[in-house]
Amino acid sequence: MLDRHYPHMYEKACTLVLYFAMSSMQGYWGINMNNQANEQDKRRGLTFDAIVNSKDVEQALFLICEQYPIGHSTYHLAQTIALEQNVDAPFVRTTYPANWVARYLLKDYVKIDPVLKEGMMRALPYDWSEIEPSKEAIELLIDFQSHGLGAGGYSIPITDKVGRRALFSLNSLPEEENWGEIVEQFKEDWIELGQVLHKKAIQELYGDVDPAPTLSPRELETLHWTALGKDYKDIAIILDVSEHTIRTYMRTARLKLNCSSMTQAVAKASKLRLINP
Amino acid sequence: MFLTVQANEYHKYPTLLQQMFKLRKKVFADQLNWDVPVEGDYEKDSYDALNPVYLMWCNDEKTKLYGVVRLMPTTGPTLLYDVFRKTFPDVISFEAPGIWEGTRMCIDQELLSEDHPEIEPGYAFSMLLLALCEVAIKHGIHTMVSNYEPQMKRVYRRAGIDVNELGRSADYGKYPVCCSTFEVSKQVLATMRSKLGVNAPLYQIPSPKRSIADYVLEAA
Repeated sequence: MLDRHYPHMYEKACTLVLYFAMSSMQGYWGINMNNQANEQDKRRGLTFDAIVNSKDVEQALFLICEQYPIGHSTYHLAQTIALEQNVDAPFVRTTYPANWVARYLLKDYVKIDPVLKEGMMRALPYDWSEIEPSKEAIELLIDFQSHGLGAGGYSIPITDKVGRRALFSLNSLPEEENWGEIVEQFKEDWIELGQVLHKKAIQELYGDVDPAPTLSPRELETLHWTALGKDYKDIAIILDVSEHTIRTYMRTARLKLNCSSMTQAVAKASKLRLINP
Repeated sequence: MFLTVQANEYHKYPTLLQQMFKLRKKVFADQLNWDVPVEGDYEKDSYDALNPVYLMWCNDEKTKLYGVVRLMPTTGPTLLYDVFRKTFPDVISFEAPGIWEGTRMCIDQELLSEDHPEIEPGYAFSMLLLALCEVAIKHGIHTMVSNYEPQMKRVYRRAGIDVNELGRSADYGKYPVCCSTFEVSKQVLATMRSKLGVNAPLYQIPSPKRSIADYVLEAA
């Protein structure tokens, strides 16, 4: 009936049905993608808190391995690097098995370890497949794999304001076939966690705890408005800057306060009387 | 081609590095009159000693340098932090992993127009910005902090980059120098590519033809 008398209505109805079908599908996929992003953010937050609350760096590394599809992780702080000499008196913590650590020390692999050698020079995070395959490097990796360790790896160089250099390395599970995809998915989170781990190490070594970090006026304003229930879009309008800038202030303020979430950061800033919402 | 050169590979590219220091002297000291340290033909400052990353635009033979930008993580010592921290407290807040500083960005117009007369100067700068965006995404960088003269803002906009100015310093050169941040994301990359009419990646992470793992597999 409808089609004969009101062909355009029929068409419209069909379009509407299609539209709803499509938008609900989009909604479905949208939710799905959000779920994945939320899931990943939850994982990052959990790991962040685990590192902050861990007993020491070594325990933190084991906790990181529990959260991500990786085999092992290592944190290496170069305390002094003398020119033309090897890395001196480093602070190293790792989840590698004792037999590999013993082997590494016995063979004095620290002198030829290509991951470490390049890592202390590089500034950008890198996959181990980017390393120049020198003779020593190949021999070391053959030995490494004969200890049942995975061939894939990703290393993140860390530099702090006083110029200390560290390297946070993640090693794949043995027989891992999707290492590239895993790195692609988690690298940004790992880069953030590397910084948290570095703070932990400095704290463990020197007892450097800064209870009240210096926050910029914009960071304080962002925290203040967040405390009053505004989101980054609202705050961007209030402060008349871009949404990305506000998200960046949120991130830097959160990291300075060493918190895994904005809720935590706001609570900590209030407790430290940095803001009075 | 676009190439990232880090301290572990400086020794491989002595010519490109020399050309870079010369080009920087020509652009920043001679043309823009910036208050930068000059040693003979070179412009080189203390941050060059801190193992920065140089993103270079060069010919495929890696013998001629067309443009360059210096990259440093904001978690470490950086130029903009030191220059702007007294006057602009917000600039110093931009220190976090994933936020990097890009400084001394310049193009060798003469050399480029000899080899590529079809590329006009503004477009050349945009190409370097696009390569920078690709480098950032590949290495988990989500925000760049950068400095430039006010008239360059147009070039950034035309390239599809939305800059957020944080402050200006008057005592730098002839003109004030702006300090800005901009977002780097897959969305920004897509906008830039369509604005510049580029549809293939400009940059690839330098890696050996055969990785260590390949050699190890062969040996096994």
